[in-house]
Amino acid sequence: MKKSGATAGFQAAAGAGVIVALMLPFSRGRLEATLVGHVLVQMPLLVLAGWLLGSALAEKLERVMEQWNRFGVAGFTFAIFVMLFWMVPRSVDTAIAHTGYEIFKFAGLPCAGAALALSFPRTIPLLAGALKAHFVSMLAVLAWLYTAAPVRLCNSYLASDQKMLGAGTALFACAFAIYWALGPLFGLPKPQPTIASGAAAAREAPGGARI
Amino acid sequence: MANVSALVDRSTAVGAKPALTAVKLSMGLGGLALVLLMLLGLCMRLAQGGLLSMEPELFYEIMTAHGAGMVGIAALTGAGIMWFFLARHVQLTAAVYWLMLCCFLLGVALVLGAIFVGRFAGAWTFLYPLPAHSGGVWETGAAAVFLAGLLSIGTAFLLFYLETGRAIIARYGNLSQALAWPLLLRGSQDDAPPPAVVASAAVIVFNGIGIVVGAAVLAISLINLYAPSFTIDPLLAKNMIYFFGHVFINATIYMAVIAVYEIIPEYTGRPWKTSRTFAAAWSAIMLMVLAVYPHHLLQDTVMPGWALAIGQVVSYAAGLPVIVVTAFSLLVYLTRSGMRWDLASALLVTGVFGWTAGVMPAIVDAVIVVNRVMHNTLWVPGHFHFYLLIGEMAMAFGFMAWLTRADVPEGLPGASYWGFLAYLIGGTGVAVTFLIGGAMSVPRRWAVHVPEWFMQDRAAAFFALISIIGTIVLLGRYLARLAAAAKA
Repeated sequence: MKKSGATAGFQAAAGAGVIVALMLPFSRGRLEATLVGHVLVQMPLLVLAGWLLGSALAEKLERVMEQWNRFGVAGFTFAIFVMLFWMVPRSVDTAIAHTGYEIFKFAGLPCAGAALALSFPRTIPLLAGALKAHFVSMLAVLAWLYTAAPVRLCNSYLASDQKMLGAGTALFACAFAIYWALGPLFGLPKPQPTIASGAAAAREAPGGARI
Repeated sequence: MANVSALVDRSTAVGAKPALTAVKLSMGLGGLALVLLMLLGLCMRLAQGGLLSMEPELFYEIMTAHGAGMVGIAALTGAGIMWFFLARHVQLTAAVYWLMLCCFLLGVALVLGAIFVGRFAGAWTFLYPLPAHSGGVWETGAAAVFLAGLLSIGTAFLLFYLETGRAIIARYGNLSQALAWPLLLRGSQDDAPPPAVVASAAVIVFNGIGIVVGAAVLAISLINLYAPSFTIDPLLAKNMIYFFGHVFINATIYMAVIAVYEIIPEYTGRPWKTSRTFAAAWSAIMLMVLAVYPHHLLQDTVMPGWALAIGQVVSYAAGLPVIVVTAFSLLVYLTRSGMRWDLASALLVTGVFGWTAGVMPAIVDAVIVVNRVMHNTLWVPGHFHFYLLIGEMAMAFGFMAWLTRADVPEGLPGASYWGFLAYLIGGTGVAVTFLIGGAMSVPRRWAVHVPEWFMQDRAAAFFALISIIGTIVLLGRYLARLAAAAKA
């Protein structure tokens, strides 16, 4: 479906606005003061901002994506590596101490979000579903890791912050699981009268149904 | 011998073609592995009965292989059945089934390597922290390979459910439509899904959740193996493992029963339709399967009381939809249908009997006061042997017999009759001797038994031998007919 210019413009403005808002010293200081604010608020918002920017640019980048991001494989690979980097507690810690890491965070996470926005619509449902299932289970593992860690993982944060982050990540895992389950369960029904037409529609639809 | 030229390809819609070879292969592999694992089971019963000398370490390795293998076989054959019949109604992608089979076989190879090369013997339930505390029997690497094997098998089924879910959504719009909720809530649905789709949708929902939880606890166990200071609350781990394990093994029979819904109408001439009651029952099953697992933790006194109460109450209730929807409906469909019995129909009806009867000991065991005495006895293996051997595997063999039956009515001739009878009598005997052992308070998972228990151990071994003979006959018939059809 074609997106109107106004919608794309709004998405781009919103994405850029979120990034700018997060860069302001006041919000940066507040959010990075706690591990929960840093990892569960600032970082996801940066990814979300990138997602909005990516969605806004999707039509303009259509030809490039067709050549370089077939089935979203390149985009997913990039996003996964960026997220892996920021899953490591030392990366989170270093972002506080070194400006270079901080700049990389503010550039890398929005790029990861944009890559996800440009990749999900292009991918096959099987890959999208597998990534979502893996994301939820790994969030649960991450929640446990932060809760069960016998030592303080970040020099910049208290051990009690880790426990709170673990609990928050567990809530995130539950929220994503519920959100992604509701789509397949209650998504907008598109009943097709016969098997043949249903099968044909499934073949014609790029990627078929979402799961 | 019957004309076999028209055998095997019993698909009736264009969508059934994909992965037919893979489905046939799955069923054959499942049957072969079943025979091998039954032989291992026989060895365990002979060792317990004092008729075979076996070191306890080897006993527990065999017990681990037997448990993990049987769960895998039940899942693989159930998946084959679900795929085959779902393909009649939705458009599936064959490559995904092959991918699933490859991941599954890779997982099996890892699990077997961990057990028979690495000597892992921590049971298929890999209860935390046992994999990390072998007492010197196995190395950390063996436990890691075992867990990686289970992860690979879990990935296989995740792909399977994602693809079947995708295909159902492409056809019906969303899973609530496929679960016939409009029919359930409003009393009518324009495009009501057939029972195979309703059952598949329910299995996709609950086993998808189960697999995600299983993946998390497997990853946690793997990390704990190499970083023991990262511990998890053992009670939480046990909850996660039994949630995953119980949901996964339950799903096997819920997939296999699709064969009953699709095949029995061919015999009775009465289509198995999705009614309001049917939709309600499957929706209830979908929720109950997720809530029933605490009956595995009734002896964990530190569990919250409400969770144990749910485990007991839902265990009672979970049996009802099964009996109402399938067993009762089956009896109604069979009554005065004038159907002609053959091996396939006999095995499918036996499967429903095994399912229904096999649930009963579990319901008894789910009573907290009974559970305190019975749960660690042979009563529980009695339940799941009944449920799986006479229930799920009977349905799988029924499907295999139907897949390879001739176009002309065959009845139940000599070898098939005796094979069926041996499977039924032997399998029931195996399950009942376990139940008797449980009633005698014989503990389960003990490598060495005292002489007072030898009698029922030896009786079990005798019945196991009969059931193995029956299985070989049923499997031989399937393989011989596949070979004949391939030649024709």
